[in-house]
Amino acid sequence: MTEDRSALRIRVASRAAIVLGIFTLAVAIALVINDRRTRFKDPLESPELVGRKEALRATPRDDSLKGAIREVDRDLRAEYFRRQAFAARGGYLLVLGLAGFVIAVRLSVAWRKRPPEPKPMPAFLERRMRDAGRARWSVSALGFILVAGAVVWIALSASGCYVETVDVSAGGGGAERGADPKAGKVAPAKAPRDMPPPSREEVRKHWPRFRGPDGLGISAYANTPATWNGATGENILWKAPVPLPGENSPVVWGDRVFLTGATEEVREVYCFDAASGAILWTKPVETPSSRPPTPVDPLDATGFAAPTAVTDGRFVCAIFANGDIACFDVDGKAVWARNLGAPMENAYGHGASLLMHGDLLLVPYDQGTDEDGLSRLYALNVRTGKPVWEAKRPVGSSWATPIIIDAAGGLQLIAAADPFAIAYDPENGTEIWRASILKGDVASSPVFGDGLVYTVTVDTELCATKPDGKGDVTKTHVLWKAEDGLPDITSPLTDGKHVWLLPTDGYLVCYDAKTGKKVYEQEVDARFNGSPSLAGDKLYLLDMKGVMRIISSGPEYKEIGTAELGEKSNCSPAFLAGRIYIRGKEHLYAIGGAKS
Amino acid sequence: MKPSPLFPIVAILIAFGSAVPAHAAQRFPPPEFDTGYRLPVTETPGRRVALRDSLPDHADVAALAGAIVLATVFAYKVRSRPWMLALTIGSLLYFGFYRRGCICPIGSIQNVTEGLFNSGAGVPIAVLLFFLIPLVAALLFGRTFCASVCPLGAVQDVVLAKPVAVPPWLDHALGLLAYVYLALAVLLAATQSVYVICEYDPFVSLFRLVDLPGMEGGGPVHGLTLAAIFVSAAVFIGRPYCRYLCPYGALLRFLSRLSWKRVTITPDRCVQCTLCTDACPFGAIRMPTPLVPGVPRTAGKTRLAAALLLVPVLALLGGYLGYRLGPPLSRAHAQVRLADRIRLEDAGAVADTTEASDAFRATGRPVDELYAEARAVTERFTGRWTHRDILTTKTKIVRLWVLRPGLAAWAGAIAGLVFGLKLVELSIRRRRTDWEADRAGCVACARCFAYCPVERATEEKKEIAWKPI
Repeated sequence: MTEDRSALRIRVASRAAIVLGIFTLAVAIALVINDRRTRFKDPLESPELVGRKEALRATPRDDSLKGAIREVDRDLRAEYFRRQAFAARGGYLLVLGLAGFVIAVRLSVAWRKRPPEPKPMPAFLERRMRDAGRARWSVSALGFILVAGAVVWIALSASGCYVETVDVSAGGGGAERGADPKAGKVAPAKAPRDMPPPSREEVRKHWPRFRGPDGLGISAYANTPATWNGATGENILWKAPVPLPGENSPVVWGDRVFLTGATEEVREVYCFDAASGAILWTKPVETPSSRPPTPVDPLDATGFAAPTAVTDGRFVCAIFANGDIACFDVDGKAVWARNLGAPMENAYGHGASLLMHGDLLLVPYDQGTDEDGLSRLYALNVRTGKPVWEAKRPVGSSWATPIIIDAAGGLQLIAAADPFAIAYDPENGTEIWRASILKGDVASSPVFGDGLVYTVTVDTELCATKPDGKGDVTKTHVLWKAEDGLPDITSPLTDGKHVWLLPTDGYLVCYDAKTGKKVYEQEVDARFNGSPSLAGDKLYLLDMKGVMRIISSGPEYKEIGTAELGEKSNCSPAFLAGRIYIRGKEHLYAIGGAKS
Repeated sequence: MKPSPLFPIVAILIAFGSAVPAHAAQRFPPPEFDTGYRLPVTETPGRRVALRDSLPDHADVAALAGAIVLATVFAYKVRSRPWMLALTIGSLLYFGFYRRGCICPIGSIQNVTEGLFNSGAGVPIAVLLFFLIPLVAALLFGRTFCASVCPLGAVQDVVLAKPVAVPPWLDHALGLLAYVYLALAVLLAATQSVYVICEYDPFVSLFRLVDLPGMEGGGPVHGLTLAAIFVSAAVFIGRPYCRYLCPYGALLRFLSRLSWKRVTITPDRCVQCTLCTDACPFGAIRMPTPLVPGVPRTAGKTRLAAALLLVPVLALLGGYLGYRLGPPLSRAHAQVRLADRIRLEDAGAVADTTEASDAFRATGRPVDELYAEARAVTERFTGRWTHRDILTTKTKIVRLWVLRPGLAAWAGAIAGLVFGLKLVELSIRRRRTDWEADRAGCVACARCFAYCPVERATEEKKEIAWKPI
């Protein structure tokens, strides 16, 4: 072939390559644009179509609108299929263009290629050794880059850029970082004392105190089990023995369940692994040496560990019959301990449970009569145990646990004892209002629902009080009263529509929450010490034999099912997502839908 | 007379031709009509089942085996680049565009791994054969699979126009990335996290770009972007994916070092003409390195000893890094990601929910169960601590805690081991008297044959012998 013809064919091939390359690139760009437009224009989700369909729902007889919808629908579909066809054709063009481009380039290169020529013999050994030396350095450099990258990735993972390590619900984040030899499968959760207190929304996701996040006995989760059997093991995820007795109820935060137990000599706080029931730690609580131990003699039914502990995911605090109060972090490390003085004037033994508000540990400590002036409400700094404020209460002994509600433009702590239901500002203990509506032994804790505070004693009435008053609101803010089904031990339950009372003898009464009108009453053939609870539309009633009756929360008594624990219980259950924790006389049970 | 180079191309194309299936209809939910209007029934001719859909997977296995046999014959017996190129194009069309790149031996690593590490996962026979056949071929005849059968290699081979030589020092280092990728792919497949090889296959989007009749075309834009990058690179760099990333190639490289037969540049003896020095666009030709008397070898021996000592150190370092990377790597698993998401939502750290979290909550399963499952998955990556009481006295117990390494630690250890062995390899001085194809790097593409004057002389002799009188 002559040189001219050779140069010509090379030129032709080169230009063909350029043309085909530009063509291929143009097709690729067009396909990308088409793809983006198709991706973001789903005809079914077109705002125009959706809007017109919404309008048609409002005016179903509008024929012109129907016609418009059909037109828009047809146009959108037509465009959709047009773009799809374009993509299909474009794919062919792209592949053909690319193939042509590659052929043209290869021909151009092949036709330019010169035959190989012998090369001078280099110093192969030296070249090879130089190449090998450089290769060793480059391999080392690559290794170093990969190691550095791995270290950075590990550091980022460990520093909290991964959610596991900055988990604000302590106890849930550490597990993913691997097993800790000392804690078995569960890695110790972080309980940094510098962490701020959890928000109210976060608190509501756990079961941190007696009767749940707001002390109302209402579960945040509706998917709680409705059937189990302690004897056969059905839906019993695990059952763990509790070393010492106690009438306190379980509190749960994340993957930790806390209980206390005590005898006259020994007082202990327990942390269980929520997944397996293993005891993660046991901590004794000892009377601080500055105070000699004061013997107390509570009622057998009350015991030495009646008050339920409280936790906020950072700390867990517990109080016992002799006035010992202790605080640990969730890993079991002791934070502080003190003794408030044994409540000698408490006839049945101290039973009111603790609660927390931010960094305040609130300790209801009622004893004696209203004239003795011994009753107190303490607020301690949970980090140090030092008192922040103290409210002297004009009330006698009580065993009710206060609640904190959000009403009338602010937070109120509602405490109930003979003779007053009193609302305090939880930040400083300032009294907001009081109502003289209680008498006798107040064991039932107040509840709050749909803007009303409900208090009850067996010797007076169930009262519904509006919390937006100031001072003595006895005559002005008590909306209604009722007299049937008054409990002596259990606390009421309300969902804002109804109020349920469950006395020890099982005479369940349901009232209309707004009017106080009795909706129904039902004699349940059982005895109850545990307060009723609500999960979704199911009421859970746990009797003293450990039989749970699950009834509907509707306007009539309707039993959905029963479940037997196989063990006696006087406690109130804890409700989490898909799980219930119940303390029996000797064991702690975790009940759930599937074995973990 | 030597046959025309175009003949094999035409022959292979005809051999790989396929039936034309009917065009599939698009499906789209019809609109809802309140007036009782009935959508007319669309009449379409009955769909002919595409040959592709009716072929059993074993047909592909037979095609694979047949193609490897042909490649071996073209590399060893026929020694013809045109035939090899024809086979390459045919493989690209069949295994690539027609079978759309799946199943392929590269992805089969994951299937086999998952089957080995998880008792509930089965491996289809066809997939197992896809995995084994090229490996056996490599053990016998070298990387003849890479030569012209692998569709990924075929794409890169076909588009290679103006090869630029990659410096050997860079080539050695980048080649190790394939082993790291292999370790990562095996780890993620063994833990049933993700098939990362398939997810990031740079060419499968190209194979599925074309909307052939009877098949839906198109692919994700990110896949096409990856394809565009690698195809563009392959125009100038010989087989970049094969040399630096292909995890299956890492296995083939290892086995081909032990192969029974090897591809040679010359069919007879090397005459030291140096004409083939620049013949290979993949840097797989090794120059002679004769022993030179008088050159001290002490430094080399010291270097080798140090490299050997480094091997266990690098393996341990890799194992440790793998162990520490276990938790972040475990997030490749859907359960772990879901547990993270649920935890974020429950902690109020995020305002929205995802479809996965909504679906989980709708099941009513307890969250603790999910967390337990996620922990179990993470433990597969990181390992688990076990203990044994080695001494018990009245007052104390001495307990020995041992970490049973997880899969991430093993993957890291193997990657570290590979780096160590590479340093050893680079510290060994091999005596070579002729120009040779590197056993591990040579993909038997037959490009270098035409450069060899001995090859040409042999061909001419055959032509003279063949020429009719």
